Amino acid sequence: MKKFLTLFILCYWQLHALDIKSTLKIYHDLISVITHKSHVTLYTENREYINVFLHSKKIQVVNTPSTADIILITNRNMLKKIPSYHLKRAIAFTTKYSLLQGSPYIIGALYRKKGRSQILFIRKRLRQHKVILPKEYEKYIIGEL
Amino acid sequence: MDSFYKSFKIFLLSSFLSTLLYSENIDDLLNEFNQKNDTSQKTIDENKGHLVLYTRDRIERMHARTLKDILETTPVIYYHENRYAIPDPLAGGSGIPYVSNLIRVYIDGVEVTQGWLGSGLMLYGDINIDFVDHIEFYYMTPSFETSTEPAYMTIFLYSKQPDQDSGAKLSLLQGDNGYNAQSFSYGAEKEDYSYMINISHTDAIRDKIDNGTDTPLSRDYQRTQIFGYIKNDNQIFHLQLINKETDSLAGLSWDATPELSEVDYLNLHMDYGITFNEYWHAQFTYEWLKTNIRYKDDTPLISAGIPIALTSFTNESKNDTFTAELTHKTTIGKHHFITGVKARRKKLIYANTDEAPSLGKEPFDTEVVSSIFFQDQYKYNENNLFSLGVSYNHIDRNGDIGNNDLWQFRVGYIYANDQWSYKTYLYRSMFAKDPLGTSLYNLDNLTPQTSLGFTQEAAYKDNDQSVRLILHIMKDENGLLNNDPSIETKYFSTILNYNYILTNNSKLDLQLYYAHYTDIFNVDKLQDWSGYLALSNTYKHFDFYNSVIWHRNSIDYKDYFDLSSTITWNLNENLSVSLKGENLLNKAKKTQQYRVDPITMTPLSPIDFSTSNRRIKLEVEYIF
Repeated sequence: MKKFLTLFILCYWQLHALDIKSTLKIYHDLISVITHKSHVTLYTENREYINVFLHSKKIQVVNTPSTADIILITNRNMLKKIPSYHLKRAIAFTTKYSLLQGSPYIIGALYRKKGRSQILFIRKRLRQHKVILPKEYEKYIIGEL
Repeated sequence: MDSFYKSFKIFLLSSFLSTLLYSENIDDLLNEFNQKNDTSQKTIDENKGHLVLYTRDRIERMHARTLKDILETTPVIYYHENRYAIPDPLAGGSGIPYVSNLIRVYIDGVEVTQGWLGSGLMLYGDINIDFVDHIEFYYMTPSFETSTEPAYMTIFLYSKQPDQDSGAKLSLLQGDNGYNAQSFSYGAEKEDYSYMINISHTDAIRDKIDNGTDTPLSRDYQRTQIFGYIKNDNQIFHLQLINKETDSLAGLSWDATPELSEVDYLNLHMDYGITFNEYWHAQFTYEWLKTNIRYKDDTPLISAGIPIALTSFTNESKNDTFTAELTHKTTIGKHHFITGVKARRKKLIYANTDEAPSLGKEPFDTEVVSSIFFQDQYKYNENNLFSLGVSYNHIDRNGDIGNNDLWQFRVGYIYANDQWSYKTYLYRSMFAKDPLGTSLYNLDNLTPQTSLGFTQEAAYKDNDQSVRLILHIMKDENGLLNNDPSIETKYFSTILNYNYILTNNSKLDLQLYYAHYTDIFNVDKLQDWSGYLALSNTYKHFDFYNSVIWHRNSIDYKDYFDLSSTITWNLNENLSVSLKGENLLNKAKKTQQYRVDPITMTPLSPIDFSTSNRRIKLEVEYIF
């Protein structure tokens, strides 16, 4: 009954909570095809995403990037803070196109452009992590940026 | 060879896991994620009224660059300009300065006004919306939570957010006949705060309107606007600045043959909002407007139907407005209570007139609006919600213009499940007659316009389509300008919306509107029809948008069609080029401006003009 939840909104600038169900569904799918694992550890500093993944039985949020299978980068500050050897070892994914463009260690992104959600993977970076995506993902893979 | 087998095994395992655990197609998942996480889903308040929504995706596909582009497609109240070339959707072609004060504009939930002059729609009705993420229109006496003054319709513009639109964006637009616009935006997220700024300039060179003289009517304008905010988790500060220099169409010329007709506006809006905790929220707004008017004609000018015995008239005025509000929200059991107090003070701080015409009464220069409201939303269960709202406004004015005590009542019920929804409201609203207009008309003791209305909305949606029907009946106890108690203005209107997703990349939007009025503006009966059909497609790197807007009314039963087409080529993620054709058939809806021979006082044939010009626009957008 999502409609009624929105009856009790506070203010626009405070409202950016992700929809838990649809966000989990797509990240479960993405992480599954990237890692081929049914259970993964994930590191992110974004409170909204942490809140979403706390509802998952397949994704465990960890406090340090050193123990993470997946590092989800949501802003430039986070990208700057995480040492590159962590990004090389784990699989780095982002929610921003500009970060995918700005870091060679990030393999893909689920981001919004002009109000539309987009998925993008870089073929060369997938190969570096020996990730082979299913055929249905082929249209979301590009050679290079 | 080992590596080949390893890769092959991984591929098989991957395919197996994907098939076994996640049977949903990634396209469907992406579509669902897109819809459920659209920014508009975070701001829609079903209890605010009957919603017409323009999502970011829809605005982008429409290639709407001004609020005018949006208002041309809305039902019930659609874009009009009055004889001063001001956005005034309720204008009927007469000389009344402004009649659309029942429509209120909000940016990020904060109302923008023109203070002493009235609704913010006057200046914001055609603003550049490059800073806007999505727009919500709430029809038929929206909830009282947001309005300091009574409103019939509220327009909520929500700005782009740095978490989705960080970085810079430059947009350059060139139209035929010299029309051009530029816009630059920049947004960033920092550790503890985020901010966004948009600066735009529009040089709107528009079609001239033949008035039978060598000097056709002009409505060109140049506008520079700045929009910005800085915010953290519980505070926000907005700054908006608009400088608009406009040719003012017929202005004060009786026969619409002015030798000079110009108005300049300089407008500042600042607001600060703070949320103390989950219960308390405070908002403070300051607005300032300077208006510079220059009119000249070879015959005496007219102001709101009154000859002012001058052939030229210049006036510079300044007014400011301060608004403060405090709201409290709490949930007790199944009840969600919202209460609030609001106060607004409007002051004409300066007016310098060459030779001020006598209006026969002492004009007011200060208006204080005090409001208090209470709203209860009773959530009976997950599917049923009842609401009750009451609001009291006291408007106090100096001079010879009377005060007003206004009461608003509304009861409502909403039912919704995953596919079906039903919504109904019964309300009684009171609106103050426009004090500026009534002072100019020299009308005393006008009772507030009081309306009794009943609305119903039924909707169905599934993954591929949605359909909605709105029915609205309303009775005015006294009309907008007609205070004769023997006349009973009645309205009936209905809106049908149908949206169909042909494929993930193709959508169809259909909207039909019909209204029937009795005893409105001294017309016994008026019927009004409009329709809107749009088809949007994406093919590889190209977006296509084609739409037609249809209008017809019982005054002349003439059909008007506004056909627009847009093609956008997304060269890469950062660069796109768009070509848009507006009013391609040159048959868009026309508005009549009435005029009178100032010597013989006999009516002249009205001037017909369209606010939508036939135009081709080329735009380049670059994100960096």
